[in-house]
Amino acid sequence: MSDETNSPSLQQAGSKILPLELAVPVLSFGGVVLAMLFSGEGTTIDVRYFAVGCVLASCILAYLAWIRPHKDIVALSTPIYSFIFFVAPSDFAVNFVLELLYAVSLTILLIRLKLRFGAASESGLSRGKSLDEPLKTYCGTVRVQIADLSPVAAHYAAVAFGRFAQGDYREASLAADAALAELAGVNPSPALTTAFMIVREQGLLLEESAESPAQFIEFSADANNSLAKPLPAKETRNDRFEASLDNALLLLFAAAWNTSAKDQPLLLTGQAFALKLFES
Amino acid sequence: MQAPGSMVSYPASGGRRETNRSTEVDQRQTMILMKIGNVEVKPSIISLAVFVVFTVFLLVASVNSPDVRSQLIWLIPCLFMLLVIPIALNYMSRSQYADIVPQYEAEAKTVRVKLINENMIGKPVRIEGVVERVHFQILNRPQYLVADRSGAISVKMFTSPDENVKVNDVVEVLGQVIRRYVIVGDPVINCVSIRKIKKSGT
Repeated sequence: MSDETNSPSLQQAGSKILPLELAVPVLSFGGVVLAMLFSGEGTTIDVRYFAVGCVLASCILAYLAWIRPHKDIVALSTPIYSFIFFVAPSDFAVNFVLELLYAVSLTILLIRLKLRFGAASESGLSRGKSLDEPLKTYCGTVRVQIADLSPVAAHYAAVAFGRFAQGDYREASLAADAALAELAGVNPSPALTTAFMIVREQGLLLEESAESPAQFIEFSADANNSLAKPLPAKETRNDRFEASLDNALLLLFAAAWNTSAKDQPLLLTGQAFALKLFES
Repeated sequence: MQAPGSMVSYPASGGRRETNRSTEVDQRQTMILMKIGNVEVKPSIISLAVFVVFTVFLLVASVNSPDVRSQLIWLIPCLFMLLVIPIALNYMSRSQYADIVPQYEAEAKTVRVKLINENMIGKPVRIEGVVERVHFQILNRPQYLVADRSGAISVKMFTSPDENVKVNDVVEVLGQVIRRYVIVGDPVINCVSIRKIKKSGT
């Protein structure tokens, strides 16, 4: 499984975000500069209108905060503050100082947003419309290895994953059970069968809020090529238990994504959960 | 048996003094409790402090000014409202939470923190973990960061908890998955009950 960090979708997202990030200081300080330039005697333009640069910059900053997975409430609320600060007419000197300080604040907030709430490549600009990495690469890997999955089984895989993500563990177990019945005698992939069995077992355990058992179903070493995460060492029982479920859910996601196009919108709603499993 | 409405004041249990990563002042806390019926009412330190401060203001003003003394007939009830209203609100919220805890206990599933995601918004859940941070406890709106082996999650409570939960306590949290800022934000737990299941450091 290759580690592609410069996939086309990420590059497109990055190329859209950088101009927006640059626009925040450019517009805010640009308004200040224009206000200075046009503040001389003889000008007919009311220089207080250049505060619109700060207003636009705060709207862009709020948008940049909105598209990130972790929301920054401070950046999100800057348009409200810009309206409060600049809607009331005031003296030129007061307005100028206010614009300058506000432009500085917006720039500081932008830097804070990038440092504390993720870099541009982690933004959710494309999330919700297509798969993000590393999920996309993993689905490509699984597509090669599990080629003959029936659409019915793929649909059950999507349902099992979706229900699990929603916390409906009994329904996820039932879907996994139905998939196992569908796959009986066919078995396109031992790893996929094991994945359904793991989801069924652990779904029932979660439904009953039971402790992890001493013996549980897990992937064999042969399945390593199909798995999203490497198998932990044999001695770490709890790690193996959790990793089994993570790998099983991710395998179901990938198998469903590749085979059942009509379930892709459902899978996209659970993409954030799948990425969380991948990265944990 | 304690009579309803009686006041109990006692120092918090000692134990080994832990390195506190919360925003609270690192000192023993005195908890002021009242019991109204079956509900333990815990007014926040802030509301008690406000009452005390305004009582002092009123005393000083009434000693120094005859105009104030003539208005005491309505100033004193207003002063007591500063105490009664927070107590009443706390009683209402704690009794309401006490009523819904059994429902949550019946419906909530014990999950690992990692499994909690946006698709579970509105679902009752139970988690067990270690408290890593505590904020806003003195405001009776405590926020905890609870971590288990699989991850950490914010736990927000909109009333005072039954127990004095501190950093490094191992707790069981019962609550509902909500968005951090109501309609946006990452999933957090709206806590209805947080209980210690092991003593920290003892």
